[in-house]
Amino acid sequence: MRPLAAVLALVLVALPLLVHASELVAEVTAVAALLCAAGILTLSIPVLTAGSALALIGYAVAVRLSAGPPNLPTALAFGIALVLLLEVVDFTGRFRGAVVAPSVFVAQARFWLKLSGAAAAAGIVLAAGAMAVAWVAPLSAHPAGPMVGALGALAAVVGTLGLRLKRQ
Amino acid sequence: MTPRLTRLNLSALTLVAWALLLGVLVGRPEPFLTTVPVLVALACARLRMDARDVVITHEVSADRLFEGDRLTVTVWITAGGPIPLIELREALPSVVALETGHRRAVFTLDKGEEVRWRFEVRCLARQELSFGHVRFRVWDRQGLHLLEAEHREAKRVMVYPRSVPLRRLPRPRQTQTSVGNYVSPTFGEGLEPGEIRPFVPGDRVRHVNWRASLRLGELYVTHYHQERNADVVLMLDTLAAAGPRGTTSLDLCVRAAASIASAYLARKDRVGLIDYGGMLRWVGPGSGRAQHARIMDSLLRAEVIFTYVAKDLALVPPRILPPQALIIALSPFLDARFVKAATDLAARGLDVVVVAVSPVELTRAAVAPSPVVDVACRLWALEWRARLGELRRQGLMVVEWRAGEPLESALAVFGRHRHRVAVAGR
Repeated sequence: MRPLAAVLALVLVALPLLVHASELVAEVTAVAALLCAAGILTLSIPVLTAGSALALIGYAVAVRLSAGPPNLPTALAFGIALVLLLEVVDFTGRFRGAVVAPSVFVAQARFWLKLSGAAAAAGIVLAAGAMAVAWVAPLSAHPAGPMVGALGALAAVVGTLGLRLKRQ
Repeated sequence: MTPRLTRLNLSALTLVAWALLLGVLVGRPEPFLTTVPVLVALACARLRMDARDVVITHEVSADRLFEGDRLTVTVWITAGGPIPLIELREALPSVVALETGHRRAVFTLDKGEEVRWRFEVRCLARQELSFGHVRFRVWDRQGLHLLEAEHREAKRVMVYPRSVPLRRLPRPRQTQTSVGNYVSPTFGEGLEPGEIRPFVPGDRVRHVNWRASLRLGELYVTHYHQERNADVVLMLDTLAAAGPRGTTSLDLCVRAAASIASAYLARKDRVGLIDYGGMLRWVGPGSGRAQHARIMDSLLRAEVIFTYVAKDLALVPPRILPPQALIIALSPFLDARFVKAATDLAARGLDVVVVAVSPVELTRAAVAPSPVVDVACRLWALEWRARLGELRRQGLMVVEWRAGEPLESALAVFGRHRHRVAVAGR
């Protein structure tokens, strides 16, 4: 499973460079690539998370430097590569040293394909919804708007997880 | 059963927060959109099942084995509901080595599906093993939720000391009254022909020696020697042991005791066992397969129990230590109390022979080689041989047995020595 993780990590660090190839982005993604490689080799999720966070910085810098219109397919591909990378490395680390039935690999691959499809569909729906909202009710360019939205989204995620934990 | 969220949730949440923060900082929608797949994964994660949905059946291929034998462990897993990922792990005892398969396995099961997980272990040393403790974890597909439980179905497996066939054994000086394989000096019913004498009324016709009768012109009969058995008591030193786990001096003594007991019992002799250690335990002399099983069970549990107290053999009932029995003492002679016990028995007039298992080579094999170790082992070997020499001077018949050397060749020395003693005694 490590080669698959390596391919996903490559996608993760290559996408920012595809969006905007600059020295700054290259430096950030190079460090991210090193951390991701270390995470994959040691099957360490914390190291991989650090590498992914750096790759996110590289991507954010790249989209900021590129003056073009929003590139939604690249963003979705980046997000899908990110989640799959985390899951593949976690799966490999969890079952290292154990005998894994072939049916497990097949079922897992099928699930990851489904997850990618669902994520892509959700991203398209959300982007379409956002565009519709922007067309119907254009918001002011005040920076507090997206900040409040982001905090709200984060609070929703934390709240959902907390509720699930409480139920268990 | 402990359902919980895994650390992967924290990583995913950290990345979502980080992407949202970056989105706000750079003022672009793309970082927000990168969180969508992660959020979808978090939203999809669920594990709606109970540990009771997992039915585990545990089987072992045998419940009685000998050292070095292989044991096949089979675990059947049946799913009461769909199981996305189940990871099973069986705790193995330290004295077994995995031969084939793995002791950890991962499966995915649909509702009602059954899978078989099998692995093979080699039992390295005698012990009462316990199998059937299977820990399992059920994960959701993403590894975000986890359910832990365990299955206990105790399966006891007895690993007995391996015995080797022995043809030549120390011959007891005195026989008993029951029928056995030793030719007794007394005449009676038997197979071994003795003297020929003239026929007297009362002699049985089937004992008439026709060849001698025809040659000498009158009836002669052949007398036969009786064939009798003997009592053999094995005395095992469990006061101290040396050497690496699985091949300690006690393990070697136990293997030797098992081989000797099996060989004497096959000759219809009565065999007993005294476990001379921290706890004085014994098995009274007896014969047959049941006695073999009793001795093997006792040898299985033989272990060093440390004590400062010298056990008095006077505590042993006379029926356990019959006066005409052959005593075979098996010891590494690390503890002076066993030396004293063996010499006391010989002083009482009992027929005592000693199999001394050298602890020097066993200890040398367990430590890293170095010049200091080499010198120390050579000095120890000299001291140990001096101790055996002292025992020989006290009239005990002692044979040294080293690990790797066939037991039969060591015991053959007894045969020659005791024959010389017997000839000299006539």
